[in-house]
Amino acid sequence: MNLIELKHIRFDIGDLTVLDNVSMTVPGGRIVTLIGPNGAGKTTLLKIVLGILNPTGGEVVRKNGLKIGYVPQKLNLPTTMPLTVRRFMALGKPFSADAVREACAKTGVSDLIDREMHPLSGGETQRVLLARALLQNPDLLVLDEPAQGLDPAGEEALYELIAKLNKQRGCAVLMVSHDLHVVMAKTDNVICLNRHVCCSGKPQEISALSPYTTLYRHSHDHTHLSDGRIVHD
Amino acid sequence: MIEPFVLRAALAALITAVPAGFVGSLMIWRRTAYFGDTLSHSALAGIVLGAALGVSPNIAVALLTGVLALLLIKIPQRNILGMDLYLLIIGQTALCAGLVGLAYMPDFRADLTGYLFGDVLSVSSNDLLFMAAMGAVCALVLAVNWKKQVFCAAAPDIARSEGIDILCQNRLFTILTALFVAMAFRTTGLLLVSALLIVPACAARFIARTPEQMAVKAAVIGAFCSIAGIAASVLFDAPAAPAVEQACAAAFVLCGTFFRCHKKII
Repeated sequence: MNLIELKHIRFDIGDLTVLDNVSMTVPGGRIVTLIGPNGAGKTTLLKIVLGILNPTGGEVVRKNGLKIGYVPQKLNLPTTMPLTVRRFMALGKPFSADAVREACAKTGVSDLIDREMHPLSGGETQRVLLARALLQNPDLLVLDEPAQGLDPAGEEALYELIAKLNKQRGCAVLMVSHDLHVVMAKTDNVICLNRHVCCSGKPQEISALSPYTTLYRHSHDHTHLSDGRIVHD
Repeated sequence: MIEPFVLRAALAALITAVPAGFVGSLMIWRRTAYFGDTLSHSALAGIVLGAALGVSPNIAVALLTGVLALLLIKIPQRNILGMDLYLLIIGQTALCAGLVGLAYMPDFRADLTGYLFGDVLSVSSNDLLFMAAMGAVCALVLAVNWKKQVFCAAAPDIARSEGIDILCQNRLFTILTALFVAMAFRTTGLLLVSALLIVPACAARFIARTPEQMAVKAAVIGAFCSIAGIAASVLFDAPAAPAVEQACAAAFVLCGTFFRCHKKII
């Protein structure tokens, strides 16, 4: 059962084509990771999945009643709004105090719960965001570079937590990540994005393909035929 | 014995100041502090247009600010100039359109100073009724949508991902501001609507721990300063709306100082 299905997504900003003919699925219970260089359209694709942006062309199919927990790349809270971690958790649907405490404990931010949001460090904010996403009891977690700003121990704990949630609750994950070693170890599906889908498949399959190895050197050594086949130079 | 016109003025000031705390807080959270200015500056054009067409100024202003608010929604969020510049340009243009229009209506003897800087002591029972109706609509819209409005102002992307219709909430806020301006311009004058929206909310920011506290405290500060301003007007013959603004500014300095001294406690 697919939670999300994207069909031939195109996204333009003015003359610039950010995404072109992107098709992908997020099956229930799976971990899908997007990789690709800066400007590849990864965040844009996530925002289309979430319905924050409407695609210029193509179709987005979401499973009915899908509950999503979203951790954005950057949280740009207005400093004019007084907001404690506790109140931040309660934006949106109301949850019991116990549920909030439990979610905060899972990501290690229990002792921040009465602090203001604004002075929190990048890593602390990231953990709070993840706690908030977990609180939604999601069928799908959408994570945009969730490990940014985390210390090495925190990063490892984060990916372990994601894997655990995935196993225990069957929660599917769609994330953007640059941590290739983690991607290879913990992911079911990898999608290489560079405005179009360069390649996709299981991690082992992907690492054998040349676009993957060259992608992070920002070169593009293949051409895409209209039927989706890839021809290497 | 309090004169009836003073009582009417005090009531008008309270009806204006209380919603101002909530609308103003939302406005600064959304980083659109110019928004109130833009809409209120167009009120003069509404008054002139109303006079030309024989419509009461209250209704004319409500209609014009409502239409303008709906047009402002059409400005794309992401553009080269940014929203604040558009708002400033449109506000100035609307104000000047009103002034130019006024010059071509020799028969219309408007009290320009009254419209620009407010004339709360001359509020009639009919005005008060109109304001109460507008205030009730504002309060209803706010009460039903408050949580969603706060969520959208704080983290719109996350709100959207949790199924909140952002576009609808943005429109509601715009219309809410238009309603507020149509209600408030009698009391504050169209140049000083922003002062009552922004200054008490900024003062309250210093002494609040939650968004709700901030809005309520902004409403209380605004109400208190409005009454103080009107008292100054009655007792010392000060112009009412500017006196209200001065009181708000004093409250802002007081709250700011309190914040600096008690940072660790609050």
